[in-house]
Amino acid sequence: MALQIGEDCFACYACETVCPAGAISIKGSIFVINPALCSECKDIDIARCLAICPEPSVINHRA
Amino acid sequence: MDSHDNKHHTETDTDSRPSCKTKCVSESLTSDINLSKQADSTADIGLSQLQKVSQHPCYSNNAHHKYARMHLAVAPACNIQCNYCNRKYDCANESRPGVVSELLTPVQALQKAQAVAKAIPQLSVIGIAGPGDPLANPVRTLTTLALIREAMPDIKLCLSTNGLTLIDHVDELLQLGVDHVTVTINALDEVIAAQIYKWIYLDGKRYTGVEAGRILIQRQMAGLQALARAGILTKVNSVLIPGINEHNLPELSRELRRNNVFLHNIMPLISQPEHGTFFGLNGQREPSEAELEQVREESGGNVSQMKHCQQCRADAVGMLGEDRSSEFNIKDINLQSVDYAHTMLARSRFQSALASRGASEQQASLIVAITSDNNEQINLHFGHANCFKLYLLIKNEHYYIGERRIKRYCSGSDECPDTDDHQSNHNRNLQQAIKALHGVDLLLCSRIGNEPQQALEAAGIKVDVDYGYHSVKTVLPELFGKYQQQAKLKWRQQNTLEAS
Repeated sequence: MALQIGEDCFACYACETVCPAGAISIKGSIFVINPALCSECKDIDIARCLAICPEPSVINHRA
Repeated sequence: MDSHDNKHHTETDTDSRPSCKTKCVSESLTSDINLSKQADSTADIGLSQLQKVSQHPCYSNNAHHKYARMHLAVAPACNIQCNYCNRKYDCANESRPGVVSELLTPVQALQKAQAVAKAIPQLSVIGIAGPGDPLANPVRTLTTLALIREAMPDIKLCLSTNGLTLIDHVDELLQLGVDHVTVTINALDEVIAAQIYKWIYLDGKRYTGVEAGRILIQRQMAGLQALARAGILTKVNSVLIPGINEHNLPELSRELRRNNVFLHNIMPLISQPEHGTFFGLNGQREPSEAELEQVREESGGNVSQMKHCQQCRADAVGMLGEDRSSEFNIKDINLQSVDYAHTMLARSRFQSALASRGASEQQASLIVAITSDNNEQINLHFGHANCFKLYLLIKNEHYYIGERRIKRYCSGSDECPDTDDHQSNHNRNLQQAIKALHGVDLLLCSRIGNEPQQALEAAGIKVDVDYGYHSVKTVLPELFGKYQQQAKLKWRQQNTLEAS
């Protein structure tokens, strides 16, 4: 269970700032989620990165 | 990012604490600010506020001709989606809020700030305005402010925010000596707010619609109240969106007046399809000049209106209306090269020449620092001061030339505990104060301990406690005679140095 960030990310840092697991970091010009650390914020309904990302459908569930 | 306007000006300086209220330039200042409107709204503006804004280009209609500002782009994340904002596209030719070319780390931001302060001696204020919302990036923002406060005592600090998490950070801003904050508020009515904001993000959750509007407005108002309690000077920016909030802004201005907001800056919506904003793409038009004028007129009876805003970028550098940010790319800045003590001295000389219309370059003068909690009397113990007000003395004339900020030398109340910890704090703060007073010839305070007095005099700063509780206005014109030998010596040394 983990989320992933698509190529349309424009690196606004919002997801990285709110991730409680420290799973998000910048790689080149976009952010990436480390699946080993991401738990999709099980403590709440919608993961924090999804809730704050300004680009619709950039963050998705990993297939 | 939160808004347009947020970014417009960033301002703040530092003064928040009661010990740093100022007066002096007030007379010349009243003309500065657009006090055009209402007599009793001007009465609300204390003399200390007037001096606070006297060197802030965004707050003072007069200062924007003389002083420069810079925005440090350290805050990329935003917790609100405004319908007039899109930070996805960046173009160096574009000058509008929320746009930024180069994101900085706090350490890079300090380095850039020092390089700009050296190159542009008019720089008086450094603010954080984005490109996102500064307080949606609390670690990056607060770290940057702390670094600058420590390394650059002659700079005022300010901040812009959408106000969503302001209430959580007012105490920290006060501690850091931020005393100008701009809050962007576009509506007082939650239904109207729902047409302006797509969503807000708070404590892990996204809210939309009227609920988002309600939460945002309620937190913005609580933030304004906290700023007023803290004594932080507050300006509110509002984006005028025709057909949506033109009737709500005058109502908002009444609420602002109740919360001691100092200035209201109503700005026109920027809405072109090529900016890619929701409004731009959906045909929301910009207001006409006449519409803008009318809403400012309707709101001006409640709060003074700001009309010289240039709606600048979140990394703007220079005088208001100009942007020299492209001259200061971080990769081109040689960080080791700035000796800030030297820079600060040169900056004080520049301010002296500006204030005295060149007289300080023609004859002997002195720079005097005073400690005061009301700017009328020299009434503060050195150990209790967190700010020194600087004056230039030439014969019986005196000119206010700025301030230097420090952490209080002594945090104790009456008696200091005799512990190693307390002692080492003392030492650190004393060294910081000596650094901050670099270039000052004379310090006037009500009292001072032996140890700090000796340390200051060893550093070349004379200390005079003969004028404790005397009025600043009476003391300064009489002081030059007492110290004219020192002034002459300094003048000779300066000329010899320049001749060689």
